[in-house]
Amino acid sequence: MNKNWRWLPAGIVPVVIVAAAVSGSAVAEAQPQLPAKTAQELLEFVATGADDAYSGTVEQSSNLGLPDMAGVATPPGGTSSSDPTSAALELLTGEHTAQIYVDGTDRARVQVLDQLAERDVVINENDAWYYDSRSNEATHAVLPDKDATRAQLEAKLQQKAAEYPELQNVPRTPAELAQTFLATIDPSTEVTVDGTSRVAGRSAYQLLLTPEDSATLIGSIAVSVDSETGVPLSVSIEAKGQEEAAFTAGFSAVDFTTPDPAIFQFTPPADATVTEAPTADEARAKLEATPEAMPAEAPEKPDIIGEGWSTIVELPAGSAAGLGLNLGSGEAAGMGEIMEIKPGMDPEDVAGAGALLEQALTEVDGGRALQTSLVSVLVTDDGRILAGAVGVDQLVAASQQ
Amino acid sequence: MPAESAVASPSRAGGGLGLTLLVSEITVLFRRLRTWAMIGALALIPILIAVVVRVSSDGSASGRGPAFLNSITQNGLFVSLTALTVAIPLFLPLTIGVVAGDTIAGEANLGTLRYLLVAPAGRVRLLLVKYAGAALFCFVATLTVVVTGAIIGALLFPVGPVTLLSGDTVGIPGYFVRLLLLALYVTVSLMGLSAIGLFISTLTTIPVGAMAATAALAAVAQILGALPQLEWLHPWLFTNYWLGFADLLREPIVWNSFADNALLQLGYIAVFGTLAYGRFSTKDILS
Repeated sequence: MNKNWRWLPAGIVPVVIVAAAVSGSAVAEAQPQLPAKTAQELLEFVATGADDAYSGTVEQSSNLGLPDMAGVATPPGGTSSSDPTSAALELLTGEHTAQIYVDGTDRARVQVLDQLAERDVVINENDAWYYDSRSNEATHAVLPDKDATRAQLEAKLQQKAAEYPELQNVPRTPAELAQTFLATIDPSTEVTVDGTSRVAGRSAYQLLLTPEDSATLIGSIAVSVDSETGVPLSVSIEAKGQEEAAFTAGFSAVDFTTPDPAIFQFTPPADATVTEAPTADEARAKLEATPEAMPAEAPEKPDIIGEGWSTIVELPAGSAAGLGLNLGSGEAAGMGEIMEIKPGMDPEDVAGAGALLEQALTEVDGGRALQTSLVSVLVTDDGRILAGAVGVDQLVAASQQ
Repeated sequence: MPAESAVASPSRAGGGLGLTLLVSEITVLFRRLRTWAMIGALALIPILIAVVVRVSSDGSASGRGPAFLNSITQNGLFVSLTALTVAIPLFLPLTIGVVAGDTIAGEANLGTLRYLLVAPAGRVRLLLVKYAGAALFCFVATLTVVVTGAIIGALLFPVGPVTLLSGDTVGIPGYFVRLLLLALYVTVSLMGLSAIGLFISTLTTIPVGAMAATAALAAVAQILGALPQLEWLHPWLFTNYWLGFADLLREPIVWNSFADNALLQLGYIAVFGTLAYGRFSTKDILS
């Protein structure tokens, strides 16, 4: 008796699964048919979509050619460092998923979904909260009264407008905003609408910014704009000479219904450490009360070399210390350590600043450099810092002028 | 043990829907000393964690150890979560490996398999019943960890509203709903491994071999999942969402990983279920 047909299901099932997986991604890549829009029209459309309410899941991934900092900034199984520099750096490397809730311009909540942990930013009309579940620490800031601030700004604007009539031309409508943006960006960048795409199951226009500059590392920036609401759904930055996108962030699922108002309310847990951030007025008052906290002499202004996409910013010697940028607290190897490098420091000491730094920094002519696929940083031997979206060789050339 | 398995065979004779077979299978499973030994071992995990934290609660170990460990001294209900985090990578797959690996090979080894297969439609039904038994064990095992954790935590530490990962708090009833969801999530997570164990169990008549192979596969999948070079493979590993249960501890609950996990495990059940069917229905039963 031939019983071999009984193996048939075992053969069919994997084929079905593979077919489903392939067709699923094919549907995702199919280009929807949408009425054509010019770049100007698309930008206007984006500007009108600012008041929308929506929620969704955002996936972000970076491919900057940097070592993955997730394991460095966060000791395995331990608490994350609340050092803002390493937290920011950690967010820039590797992959993250976040839940995002937005209701108009005043209320938002971002939940960064870490494994067995979460970081939350909650913003509502009056308060802003940051909560880290690993360290169980919350930071609270009282936001300035929006109406008062706006009224103040308007009054100031009116006053200035009387003095400078050309300020009357400040863009106010979405159309004017789009026009101003295009006029400003035009000489250095080609702005086009590059067809359509499908993001998080929605049809979207693709806005493409291509730098017309051979020196920059940035190949192009693509922004997908939802075709119904004008909300940007994804951003991806391509680097020259790299096949994978250097940075992508976009919705994997999005829902355009107004989120539950309770989501924007936050009460810190009873056992959490709560830090009150000073309000703008308090900070100013404190700074004025302790003049020694102010730098003795204002740091020299950074030099700007070049223009457009290949602009290089040069911080003069000693500026790292003068700006008080010693953010690295020593316990976590973060970008802060790069900022701690002082003039006259022995290169050996610099190399010892952290295993991470050693990995990331390479010896170049006249200093040490950090090269990522989008941005390069050069720390010269005499303590200047040069940074820009260009190759290290260009930074070296600029530093020797 | 032979005597216990023999109890199962006569009672299944009349079960048109396999219900009697299922009942007898579950009875046999939970009458075994081995099953209770494994459940007892699982219950020891939260007890051990709670007692150690209680004895050495000078609060100095901040920031180290498994997730949620630091919260235990403030709220005993967190013992469940710490225990679950500890049990998921090793202890739960190990016990599931033992139960799933034993399903068919155990009967074959005892020589009781051919009695179970007297009825013509017997083979598919037996596979389904065996799989259902393994699934029930997954749920009981997970629930044991969670419930023991909550009880021992309540005995040794203060108990109160629970802080979720998002920083919001839920009351105790709300927390127990989430614990139940957690147990469900972990059970679903283990269904793929159970299906693999069932298939391996049809390949051999030596139950220990099937048990070891199943438990080893769980370890291999987790090692592969830890290698960043194999990132393209990760979404296909049955262990990929094992620690995703934390998504049920957010406010609002993020259901994505629950859905993704269920779909993935369903795929594994389909693949290894049909493989087990192919193997078992064409196999010559000699014992």
